Amino acid sequence: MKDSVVTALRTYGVSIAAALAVLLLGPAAGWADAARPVLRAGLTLEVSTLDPVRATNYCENIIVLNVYDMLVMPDLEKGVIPWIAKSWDISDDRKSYTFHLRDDVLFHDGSPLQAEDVAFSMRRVLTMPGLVGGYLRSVDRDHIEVVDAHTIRFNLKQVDPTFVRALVNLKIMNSKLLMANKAEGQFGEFGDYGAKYLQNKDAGSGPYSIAEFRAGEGVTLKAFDDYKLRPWDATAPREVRLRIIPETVTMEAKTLAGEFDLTFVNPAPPRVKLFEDNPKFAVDRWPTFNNYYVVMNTTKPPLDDENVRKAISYAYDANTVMNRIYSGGVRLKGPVPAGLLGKCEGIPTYEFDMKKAAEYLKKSKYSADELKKFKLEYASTAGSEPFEKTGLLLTLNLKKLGLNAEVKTVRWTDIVAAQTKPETAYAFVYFYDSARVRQASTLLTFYTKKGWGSPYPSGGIYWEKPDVTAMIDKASTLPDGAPEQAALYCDAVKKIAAEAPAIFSHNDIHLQPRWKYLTAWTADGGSSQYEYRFDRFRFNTSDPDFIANQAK
Amino acid sequence: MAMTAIEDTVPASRDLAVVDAEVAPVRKTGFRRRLSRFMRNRLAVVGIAALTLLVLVAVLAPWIAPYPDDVADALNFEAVLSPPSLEHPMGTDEVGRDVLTRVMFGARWSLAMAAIVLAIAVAIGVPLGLCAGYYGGALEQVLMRITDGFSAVPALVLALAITVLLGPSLLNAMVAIGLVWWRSFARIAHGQTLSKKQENYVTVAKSLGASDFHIMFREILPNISSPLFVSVSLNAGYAVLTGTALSFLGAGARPPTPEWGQMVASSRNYLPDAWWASLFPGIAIFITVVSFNLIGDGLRDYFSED
Amino acid sequence: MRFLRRLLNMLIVILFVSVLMFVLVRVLPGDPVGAALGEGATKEQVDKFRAQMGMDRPLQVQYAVYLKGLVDGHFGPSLIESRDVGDIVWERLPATLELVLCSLLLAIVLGVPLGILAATHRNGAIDQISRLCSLTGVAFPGFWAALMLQLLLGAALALLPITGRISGTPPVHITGLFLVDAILTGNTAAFGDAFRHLIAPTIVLAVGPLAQITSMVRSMMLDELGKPYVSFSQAVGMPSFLINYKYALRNAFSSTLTLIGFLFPLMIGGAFVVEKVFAWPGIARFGADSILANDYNAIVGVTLVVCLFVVVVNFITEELYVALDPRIRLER
Repeated sequence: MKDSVVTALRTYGVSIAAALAVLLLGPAAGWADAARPVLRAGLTLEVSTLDPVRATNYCENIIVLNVYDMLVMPDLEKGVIPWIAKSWDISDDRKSYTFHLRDDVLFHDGSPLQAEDVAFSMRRVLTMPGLVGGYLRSVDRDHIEVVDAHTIRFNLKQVDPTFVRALVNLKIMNSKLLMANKAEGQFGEFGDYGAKYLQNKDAGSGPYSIAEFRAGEGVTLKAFDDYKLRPWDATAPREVRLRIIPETVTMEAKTLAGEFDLTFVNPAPPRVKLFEDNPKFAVDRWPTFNNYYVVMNTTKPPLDDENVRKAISYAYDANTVMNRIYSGGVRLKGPVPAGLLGKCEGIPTYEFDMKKAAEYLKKSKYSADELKKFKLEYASTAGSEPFEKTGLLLTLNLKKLGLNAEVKTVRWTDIVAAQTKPETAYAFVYFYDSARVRQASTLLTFYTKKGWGSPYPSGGIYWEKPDVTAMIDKASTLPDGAPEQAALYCDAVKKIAAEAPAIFSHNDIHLQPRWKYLTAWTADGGSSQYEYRFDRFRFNTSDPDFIANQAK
Repeated sequence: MAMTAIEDTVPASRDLAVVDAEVAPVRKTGFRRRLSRFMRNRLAVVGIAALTLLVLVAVLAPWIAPYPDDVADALNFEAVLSPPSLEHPMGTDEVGRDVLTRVMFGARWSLAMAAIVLAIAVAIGVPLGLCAGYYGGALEQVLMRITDGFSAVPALVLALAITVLLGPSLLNAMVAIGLVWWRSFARIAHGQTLSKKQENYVTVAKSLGASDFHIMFREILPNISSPLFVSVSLNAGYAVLTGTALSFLGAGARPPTPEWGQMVASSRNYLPDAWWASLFPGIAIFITVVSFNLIGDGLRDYFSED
Repeated sequence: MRFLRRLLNMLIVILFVSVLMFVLVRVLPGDPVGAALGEGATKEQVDKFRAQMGMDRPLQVQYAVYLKGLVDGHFGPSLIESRDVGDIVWERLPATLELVLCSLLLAIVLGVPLGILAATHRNGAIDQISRLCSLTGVAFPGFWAALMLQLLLGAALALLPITGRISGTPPVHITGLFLVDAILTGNTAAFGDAFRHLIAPTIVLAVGPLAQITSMVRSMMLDELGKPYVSFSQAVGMPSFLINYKYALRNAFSSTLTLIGFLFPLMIGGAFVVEKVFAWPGIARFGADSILANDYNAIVGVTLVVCLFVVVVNFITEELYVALDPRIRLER
């Protein structure tokens, strides 16, 4: 009895093993062509849409900014430089902007880009719900003038100093292609405005087009050979393969193994040396405009007392946060980073000093016993370890001062919803603002009544001072970049910092580990993620590591 | 899935048939007899020993844990991610907290999870099953259909849905799992009630004018308690697994709660180098579930010998 | 007649779950819209978005719309991806199905022979080992086993891929199951690629069910082998091979079938953690992702689809069971 069973099972087992062997040692996928170098990288967030209007997370943005082009291109020094728009005129009342477009720009399907496409794109952005519409809300949608095939005029509802910089977010789309592919929708004659089509296809004119998109897995971009705005270099990536790897550690492991050429996200501080100590890697570093704040709900006692807020600011150990929790940083003085504010001296700052913190606490109108009674919750976004660590650091110090503070891990969606009302807004929320429109007023608006209750953490500060609001309003009527405007912003920042409605922590340093054969951008690109315009990357195609990795 | 073993009941030696009249064998009665019968199952004994150890650790944690402060908010940059050593036998995690302490306190949460989940599940499921079985008819159909409805969705999925909607927290996770788990108890209670309904003592009680409530809970329930006990102990392990899985996915315990599933989740970004922070909580879960299963198997074998 | 009644039961159950889900979603607090839009969103935009999602109409109207949508296959827009959950689920379902089916297959293919061996060599080495494995197999936390396996394979990355479904180009879409499509189109490269990616997650997902199938087959076989007809057949001189396979196994088979109906929902539950760890693009991962994003439509949609599958599988296994076991058939 035993023998027959055993024999049968043995044959069974052997055949399975044989099949497995064949499959395991089968041919690997992929081949490489040095004439068309391929850039490979991992994305740690899901890409759920390729529609520029709907793209919100950093992965979607990276794809969108390579596939689409804009009227203006961000620039670190000048703010913006002409791109599709070769020049523009501003009316005297600063409410009318006329853009003169280049006549040689082509969409990926070969058709020429014209003013009508720009008008269409603007109308689309203002009609569909999404982030970009908010940045451009000062545009009067009903008075967009297509002057001729290469001239377009936007009329604003009120003076807006951020307008030209905000245009970086307006991606120009192929109106004819989208309307030819529109589906049923709620936008009348425009149907769904091409939303369904744009789920996985592109209507852009940027240096890359979408070759393939597999939801949950990855995106492949192919170089657009007829791209006129920047000539193609032989060693620039002609294909970009982005794979979604939600686990950061897996993504880093693949990068170290050569399956990816660089990483987009900072490695956690304990893991930085994995790349720094590796002779095949270089780690680029540059300061970003990601502004990290701990905002306080100034309507919630004891945070309504300025001295308490100052005490808390003194209890915040920015150096430890910047250097132990993050991999370096540049201290923030007030809500606006120096790069946007220009020269501004005398901004009150609060360097870590527990003695001073205790002093200010004594000066407050609350007694020590009263202070202990208030429960102060620090909302830390779920899933982010640095946020949690920063919270622990702060609340532990606050506990030493006799304040009843604790860290609460909350989902981002719940934090944002809570901030819209002063009763539900958290005592402390830690977050960063990546300042997609690089203009001081976008950051300062939260310290005026206009920014109260906005569905974003800074909307939960609920602080205002009439003279500060007056300064900010006056500044927006002035020409963008004018010295008077800068002076007003500087004064506003000083007054805000003096009352400490938030803790202005730091700008972080971006770490970019990459293989040495790749030359990527090594400075801030002028706006969020614009350092990831892949057509500016260069490969050293004769490097043996490059050749080996391309086959992986 | 009864594991009926073909027991070898033939005594080792036929000579034992002759009883020595002078040395009468001591006959263990009642509880001690039942206990020694149960103890014959070696594995079940191991299970009980392990569980007892766990309960002890959970109860005594505040006193025996080396770094009790590390359970709540704590931050220790010097000790971040240090490997197992004499000061920290299980190493430290990414915030510098002692893993051994947190694993010990984690036992409290997991045992509490099992207790709360089962309490809710039994409290809902058993009465429901009893009523369905006892009253029969339309009530039985309705109640069993509802049970089927709840059974159509895998436990983890439904618990996940409820927790997402309620908002992630350990308490919500426990309630959600309990609300999902009652169905198997309802089924057992229902099936057992159906078979016991015809027994003599029920007929006698009815003829004596006992209320339905009395019959169900005072007559039938004690007689169906054995399979329910088995089910409780077998399910305890699965409840812990589901609870820790929910926390791992982010729908359960939130940091800094030292719940085992949550600990594995927050430390997994540091694999493979800092393996200890994720490994030890996982082993703890494993040991807990194995001991519950061993006890459950032992109880099942014990009751099936009757 | 009985068949129709069972079909009706199935539909009632699905309807019940849909009502349950709807009630839970609409009645519970929380407003995830603002966060979905991101930084800089204004109150007007949030309101506009909510109106577009139909969140401002009365409850009964919303349910009617919801039910009609379900019938059409629309589960409502997802907050994460701004398109209908139904489309997303449809796209991702084959991935989860492929994983669960392969795991089930692995568990059966390994578990049944192991169970037989354990029963026929009772108390031998194989039996002891398989009993040990059965005991420990069900006790492993799935997410932990997944991480540890990923660690093992990841330490030598060249061994096996540890994330995703395929590295190169997937085969032409016919069923969505890569292995099946690759065979149908004769694409051996894609087959090997997809197979290699399947190995690790399949092993993790199959561990628990494997343990349970092994122990169940073992005990069923032991039950059967202890029955009088076996010893009678042996006494009469029937070859043991015949006894084992033709009679004992077939009787054990119908119980295995019921076990599969029981295991299927468990495996889908297990898929949630496995897909998350191995970055498998299936509906379970989509459901798990909806936790942090508070995407109600997503989690409800996934729950309903899972429920549908479980109910259908149960229905099929019950019908098969009845069809195969004449005793039950005759009883009715």
